[in-house]
Amino acid sequence: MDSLFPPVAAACVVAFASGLMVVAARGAIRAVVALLAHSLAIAALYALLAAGLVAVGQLLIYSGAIVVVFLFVVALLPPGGRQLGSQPVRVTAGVVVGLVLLGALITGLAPAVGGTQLVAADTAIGSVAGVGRQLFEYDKLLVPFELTAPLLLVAIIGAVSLWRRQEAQS
Amino acid sequence: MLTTLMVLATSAVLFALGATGVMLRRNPVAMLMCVEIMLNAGNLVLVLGSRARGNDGGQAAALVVLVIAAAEAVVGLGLALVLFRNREPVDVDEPRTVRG
Repeated sequence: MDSLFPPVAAACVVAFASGLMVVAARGAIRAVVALLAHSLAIAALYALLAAGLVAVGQLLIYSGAIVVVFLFVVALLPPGGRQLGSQPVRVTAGVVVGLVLLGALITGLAPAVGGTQLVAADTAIGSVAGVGRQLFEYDKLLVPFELTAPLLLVAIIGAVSLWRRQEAQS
Repeated sequence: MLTTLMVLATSAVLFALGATGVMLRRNPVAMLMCVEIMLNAGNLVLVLGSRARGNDGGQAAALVVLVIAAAEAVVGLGLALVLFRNREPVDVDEPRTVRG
């Protein structure tokens, strides 16, 4: 057992527990706080797996931006809005789909585990220069990375125009 | 080996958990949160693979996924707000207090 195991196991447990809370929480605010804990645990896992840049990105984009946007939306929702309960059929269907998906994932991922060893303390992995080279080399991820810019623009325009259409109707 | 297995199992369980949540919840905001859990689970495998193979490509892909998740959250939450607005009046100019 390597020295990485205890912190990784702790972060995994926190990520799972908070994920469960997000799914099961009744109140929306509780779910958002659980989502915050979840994204922090995931960021800790990234940092432990020598992905410093991704960990910082997770902290800024997820724990910072996305969770705050969720908080604002929850705060803007009508107060005491009717919480539709889950019908038993839906619960059964959800649990069955989750278990089937879990089984498929385990059977699919199991062959990948055999003999996979973590590269021991390789400082060359996860450096900003190395990740940046992957993002900006034309035969690697340059095209997907550049396409995220128009994607974000379209998302912003879409969100604004959704709201503007509502304004016009009312 | 054990660490790899632990992270891989966590991400598989989280993905299934998120999928269950999407099926279970009827609140659009809660569904979006479950989708975020699924995205995180996928990202975790990318980062783990990057570490196990000693290749930065997985981390770069994880960064791209993070940006896409942000765009998805913006559009999804905009839709959720419109949905709620159609049921009951919510005017962003009206509320004087922010409540949970």
